[in-house]
Amino acid sequence: MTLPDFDRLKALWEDPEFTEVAHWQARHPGAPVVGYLPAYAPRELVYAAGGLAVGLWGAGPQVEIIRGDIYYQSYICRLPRSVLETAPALGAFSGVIFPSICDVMRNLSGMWQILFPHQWAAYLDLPQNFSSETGGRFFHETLIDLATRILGHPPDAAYSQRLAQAIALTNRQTDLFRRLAGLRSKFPWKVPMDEWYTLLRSALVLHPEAHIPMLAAYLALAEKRDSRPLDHIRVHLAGAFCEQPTIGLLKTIEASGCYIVSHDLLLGLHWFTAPLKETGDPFESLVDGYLNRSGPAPFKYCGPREKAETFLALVREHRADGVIFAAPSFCDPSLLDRTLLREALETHGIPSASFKYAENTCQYSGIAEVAGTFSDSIRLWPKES
Amino acid sequence: MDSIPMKSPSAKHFQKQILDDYFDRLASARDRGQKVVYTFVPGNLTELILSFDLLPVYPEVNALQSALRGDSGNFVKRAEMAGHSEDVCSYVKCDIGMMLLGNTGPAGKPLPPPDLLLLSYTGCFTFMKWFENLAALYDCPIALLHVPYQAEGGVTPAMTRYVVRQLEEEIIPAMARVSGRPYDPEKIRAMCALAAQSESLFVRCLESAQHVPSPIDSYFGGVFYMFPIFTAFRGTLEAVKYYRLLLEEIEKRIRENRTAFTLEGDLPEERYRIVVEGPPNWTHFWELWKLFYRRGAVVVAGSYVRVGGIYDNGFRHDPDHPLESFARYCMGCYTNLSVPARVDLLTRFMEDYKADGLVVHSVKSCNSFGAGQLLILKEVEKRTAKPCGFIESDLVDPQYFSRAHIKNRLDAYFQMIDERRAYHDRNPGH
Repeated sequence: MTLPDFDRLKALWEDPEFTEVAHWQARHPGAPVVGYLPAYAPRELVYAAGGLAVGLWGAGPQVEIIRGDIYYQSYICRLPRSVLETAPALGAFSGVIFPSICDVMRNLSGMWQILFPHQWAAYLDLPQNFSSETGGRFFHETLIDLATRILGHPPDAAYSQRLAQAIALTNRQTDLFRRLAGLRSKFPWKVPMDEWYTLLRSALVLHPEAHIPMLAAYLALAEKRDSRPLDHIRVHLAGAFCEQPTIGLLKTIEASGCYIVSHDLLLGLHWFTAPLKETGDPFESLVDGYLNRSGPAPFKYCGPREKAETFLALVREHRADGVIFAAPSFCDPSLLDRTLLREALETHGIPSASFKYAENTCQYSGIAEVAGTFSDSIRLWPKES
Repeated sequence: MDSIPMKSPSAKHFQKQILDDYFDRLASARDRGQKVVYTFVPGNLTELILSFDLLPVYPEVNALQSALRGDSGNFVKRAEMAGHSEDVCSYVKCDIGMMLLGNTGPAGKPLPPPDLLLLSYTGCFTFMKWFENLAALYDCPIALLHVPYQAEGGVTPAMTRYVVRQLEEEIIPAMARVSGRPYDPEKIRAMCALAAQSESLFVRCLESAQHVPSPIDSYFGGVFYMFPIFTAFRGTLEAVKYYRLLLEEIEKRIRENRTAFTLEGDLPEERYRIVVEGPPNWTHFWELWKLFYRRGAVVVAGSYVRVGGIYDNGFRHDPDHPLESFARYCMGCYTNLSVPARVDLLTRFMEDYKADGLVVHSVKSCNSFGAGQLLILKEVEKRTAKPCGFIESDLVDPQYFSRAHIKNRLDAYFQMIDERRAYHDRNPGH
């Protein structure tokens, strides 16, 4: 067994032309390709239709934004700009899913209807009512509508069977994500941040059938890795659930003395805290997953006490020494959560630091200063006991 | 500060009287044992709140009134000192800052803390984050009403069912618990009937601007007309009386062929009829208005006076199906409409109100309005072949208002309309 070719994997999701997706389409003529934006979409609905779900998480710093800037004022985040910039490469996609995470994403769904009338644009209204009879019933109906869009006709019994298989498939993938995150949390030096992130992000472009063997092989190798820990603090990284920082930025945090032992980067891929049910109505399994097995998120309603308690539990579970809040500029969900969560941390004597970024932030000296000082403050001046 | 610009004294004075009375009742609510509900204007459930003898408070109205009084800058700064980012909505920061500085309301009287936070999550995602933050500051229950978005340009039975179930299972029981009163369907039916009357009168007031010259400014004047129906009075006799008075005064202006009023009397000449998309700037409201009317521009229609509900398309609260009509009302608010539906509505306004063009006012604070506005502008321009202009500032953070910049943009815009007219005069038929 050898390590995956990380350069190739990175090139897959950095590619603004989505060449890998085009290759997949060539191998699977007629199969639907569906894009989905951050942070969570039920990918299983696409896999069950024999299709490929492709995460559109922004184009990073590689792409110069021209077209995207035509549509957005300076005080709106960068992600929708780069998604629009790369949109011409999505011409062969059947449709795009816009999960309800903020007003920018919501309005982008309508802009898509105007700009790309040949594709369907589905707004995924994630319920904020978590009763199975009310929010659950609404979400069930939403999922049936979405499946109808993907298939071009209402789902039948055969589709439901394939959906159950797709759920089992993504369960295997998310189980590997969980195990990898567990290893990273326990021995962060065995799973370098850039490798971890690259593996996670390549799941946005690759079908789980191609991704799972690679993930399993990597996990087996990483568990045996004989590397030595560095004198770093352990941090939880919060707030980056949508627009992504560059790998360079993540490496800078690490190089400045902070092991990122848990995070909400690419949240939808590792959001469920337990596997989805593999028996019974598969649509109900997806509903139950969202209502009862999804973790906290800035776009999911939560009372402040529960929000604080869940967050503190997460920090403690990973034995984090502190929290780094990394929020994309102009991101209301992330920035308005930050105030609440920081308050909870302060009450419990857990230190935190914060900064803002955009997906094209490539000047890291300021970040290194924040992360380095944060690390030093914890390592060199530990709390008085 | 200039006074509230309502030329007709009776409507203006009646509104002042009912608002003063409302703020007095708020200030004494604690002493009288009356419970208070904080909620939002879009998707407000005023009839329900009042039927339980609860008093509604609208934080975004407090914020905009603080800005009109020149207080919002300090409130925003105070919230930023407490850790809120400069990037986020200034309504939120103004409200939190006001609370941290003693919660004195816009009328100079203390506001009571909420007994219930009614989070009607309608047309604005930030509402949810706003009330999560308020819930951490106040020790009171919170009830959430999730209103689905009209992404496909319509309301499905599943969407209505979802909202009605939440009303039945979450919202009404929460109000009953806080108020100690049962739900009174008869009272609600009567209030829905009154709401429908106010709504019909309000639409007639707004539609009066289709007349040439327009007897009203539907944006700078319109924001004062909308207060009673969008806040604590929809579903009451007071609102019906107010809109009757207002309509009478407007109809009189039409009979007298008078132009819209301004801060300096009637508009001398109506040179430009404009549709405006987006909320106003509240910190420099009067200044912004002057930049329009001193060029002879009157705003004949706009999206902002529909932010608390759209009644132009025939929707009315329905006494026979009150909960379903609450659901349809909430889902029909302007910011709960998709971008294509907004384009359709504004295009229709351009035609129905015989407008010369569209001005988009984008505010830094509001992604619900702002994201997509530049595409809306292009689409309306394409569909109407009328010039569209763009200005930007903020809601209640005074540091984002640049008079010179906005004046420059508006001057160029009105020149563009002049040029277009001159071209058509030279080339009839084009």
